[in-house]
Parts: sequence; C-alpha cells; structure tokens
Amino acid sequence: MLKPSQAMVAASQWYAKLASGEANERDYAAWQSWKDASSKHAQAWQQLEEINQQFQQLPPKVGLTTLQKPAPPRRQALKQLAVMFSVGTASWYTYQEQPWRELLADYKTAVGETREIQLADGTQLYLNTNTTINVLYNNQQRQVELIEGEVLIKTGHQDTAQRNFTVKTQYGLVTALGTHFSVRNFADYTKASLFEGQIKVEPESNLGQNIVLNAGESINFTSTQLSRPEKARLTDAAWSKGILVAYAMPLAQFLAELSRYRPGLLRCDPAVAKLEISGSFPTQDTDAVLETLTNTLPVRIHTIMGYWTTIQAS
Amino acid sequence: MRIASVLQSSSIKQAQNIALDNNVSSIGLSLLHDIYANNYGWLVKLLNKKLSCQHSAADLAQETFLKLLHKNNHIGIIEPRAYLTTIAHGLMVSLIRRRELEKTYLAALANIPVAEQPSAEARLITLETLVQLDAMLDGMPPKVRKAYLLLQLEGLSYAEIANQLGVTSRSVTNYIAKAALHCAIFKQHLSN
Repeated sequence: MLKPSQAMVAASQWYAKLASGEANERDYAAWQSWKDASSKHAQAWQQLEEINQQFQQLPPKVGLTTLQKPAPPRRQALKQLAVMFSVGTASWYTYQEQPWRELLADYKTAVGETREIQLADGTQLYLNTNTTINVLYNNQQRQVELIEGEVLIKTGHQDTAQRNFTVKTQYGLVTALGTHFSVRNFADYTKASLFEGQIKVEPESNLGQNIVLNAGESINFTSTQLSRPEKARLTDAAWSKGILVAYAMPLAQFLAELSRYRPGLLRCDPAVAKLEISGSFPTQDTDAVLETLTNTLPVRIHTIMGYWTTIQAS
Repeated sequence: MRIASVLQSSSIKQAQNIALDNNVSSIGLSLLHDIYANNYGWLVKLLNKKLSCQHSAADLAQETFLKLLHKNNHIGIIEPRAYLTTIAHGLMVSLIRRRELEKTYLAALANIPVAEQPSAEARLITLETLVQLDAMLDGMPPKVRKAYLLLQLEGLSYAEIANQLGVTSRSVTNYIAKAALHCAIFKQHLSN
C-alpha cells in the first residue's frame, strides 16, 4: 500500500469539513488559500473531486442498496462461484416484465447473430442482433410482435385474403400497406423506417391518432406520442447484409451501434466521443472493426476481463 | 470456437504491442512465448474446472497472460504455473464480485417502475461504475463506508448520519475524512 502524501491527508480533512455543509466564509477562504499554495494541494483536491463525480454518475436509489454490502471475504466468494455461473444468464431476465414472453418466443437471435426468415405468404423477415419476435398468422391478420431488437420486413404480395400486415411493439402498431420497412425497439420508444410503399403508425394508447409515412421517411413513437417524420436512409437497413454504415457518425454513437453486435461492454472515453467516423463495417467481426479504428483514428483499445472494452485517446 | 480463435489472434497482436511498449527484450519475449505455449492449455483446463464455463475460462486465461505481459521482469519467473495461478485467482475473485454486484443491481432495478427502467446500455454503464466504486470502497471499515455512502448517495447531513450510526457528529467528520483518504490512496495506487 502506498503511503499517503501530506497533501492527500490535508485534502481529505478539507473535504470532510466542506462536505458537512456547515463551513462558513472564513473556512472557504482558508481552503482556497491552502489549495492555491501548491500545485500538489490543487492536484490532491482535484482527485477528490473526480471521485465525487464518479458517484454522481450513479442513478439515485440504486447506488446505496448495491454498494452498502461490502464484498465477502475472498474464500467465501470462490465458493459461490459455481452457483453464480449457473444462474448468471437467468438473472438477467428477472427484472423484465414478462420473462416468459422471451422464453416462449417464436424466433430469437443472439447477440451478434442476424437471421432471415421466410413466412408462408412470401414475406421476408430479417432479424437483427439480439432480437425476439412472435409471429401470429391467422384468417384475419398477419402480425409480428417485436418484443426486443429490430426487424426488417419485405411483405409478400400474394395475400389473397387481403389481410393487414402489422408489427406490434410495446409502444404501438405499424401497419404495412404493401412494402419494405424496418421497426426497431429502443428502451423508451420505437423507430419505424420506410423504404418502399406506405405504412401507418399508431401509438399504443392512442390508436385513433395515426400517421401514414411515405417512402424514405422514418418516425419515432412512444405509446402516446409521434415524432415529426425524418429522412430514412436505406443504409439504416444495411445490417440485413451484415454491414454497419456510418456517415460522419460521432464515435460514441458508432460504438453504441457496434456494441449491439458484441457481447460485453463497449465504452467510449468522452475525450474521443466526438471524433467522426465514416465507412462500411462488417458486423460479424467487431474485433476487426475495433482494430481498424486504431488505424484510422487517434485511439487505442483497452480491454479488461475479456469483455469490458474501452476506446481511449492514444 | 470462432470467438475463441478471434480472441486468440487479437490478443497475440495485443501481446506484441504491449511487449513493444514495455521494451520487453527478445529473450524475455521468447521466454514469454514458452510460458504461453507450455501452460495455456493447462490454465484453460484448470479455470474451466473451477468456473464450469468454457468461454469465461478462455477469457480469463487470456486476461491472465496479458497481465503477465505487463510485468517488467519475466526472467525471474521460475515457477510459471504458481505465478499464473495467483494472477488467475485474483481475476476470478473480481469476476465473482462483479457478478454479485450485477445480481444486487438487477434486484434493485426490480423495484423501479417499468417506465423508468434504464436501457441496456445505461445498465451496463451503471454496472461498470458500481464495479469501480466497489473496488475503491473495498477494505473500508464498515461504519466509515456507511457514513461515506450516506453522504455521497443520500446527501444526508452529518447530524443525520450520526443519528443513523449512533455516533457523534464529530466522529462522522472523522469517518468522512478517513473515507476520502482511503479513496485517494486507491486512486493513486491505480494510476501508478
């Protein structure tokens, strides 16, 4: 263990004094002159501020319950190991509203996997990474329920019964009027993009309020609201061919997209978050894509524990 | 299988880069190569037995060798297996702790209404912060830890913290100073 410097000890004492909320003007003035007296003092203080910022990143309520319980002694931890691994994956489901929906789903892709499915009426479905859908076909309707992820659809044209083709998400309903479109679930909204034909979009709790999109438009909606239509780009559907396309995309956003195709955590150092990247990248080999980044941008890759990767300034 | 081979090829490249960065001599590098060639399979087997998960075992084995690479003097390693076991053990304990934090965090999320649930991405970022903070708090005396968390996360006053812990406000001031110093030492240690 390192021996703390005098500056660190003093900084900690100042910290305890100022954090009490009972410090007065004179205390602040004294603290300020201590801090200005030496760069070592300023540095030691800066370090404590950074620690504070780290705590502030935690959402309220979650932090205390999680951090309150200290780590068990090492030997005990090892004993629990086998158990942890056998329940590891399952525990991810426990927070979800209706885990059985996923377990009983009709089609599912894993992280990094994409899949093409042809339905009885000739409709083609492409499932993007980490996607779960149910397919409901009967005499009255053709419905795909998107539980998680993203799906691209080219509807078949040989439906003699003239049934509607719809995609249902937790936020609403997208009705195809003969066409080529994609629907993607985000945590708090759904995005529908249209490449050919027309679709009708209806928020879940307001089915009367709807909008008809024309080819080349996309829209975001929640269960109560519709955004203004924006321009849809065909490259947004390139994932169905295993390609991620970026046009001057900020690195942070690029990595967020790329992380959909790889297990584990992919983080972006804020210092390089705004660097822009353009190009077409294979989603099947994300390690190679990251490697490419280090050749084209001033960044390096830092990996811990094999699945915890940070892109940093080099 | 594919994942394993990708990992392996990328980490060999990484290994070469690290070796260059650290000025590992050619003798050191060939020594490392021998250690890798003679012990990689053994280590994966050992970890697999302990973890009963092939992917985690392969990941941890890779991680262990990367740590070894970061050491400056490889020539002093006489018992590579004992050495590797020690590193791997440390990594394994961290992995277990991470899983445990993840479990507690997910349980905490269960109490939050569905509409306010964070996205998968936000969850991972929070988990990572939790892991880092937990490592920093490790080894703090229980009352110091509690006082510090109540201040940082609940924003309680010293009088309120004192009340909860059944100590005086003056003790709380002491605890907070101790906690801050503990964290500062940890950060210093990390950056060295």
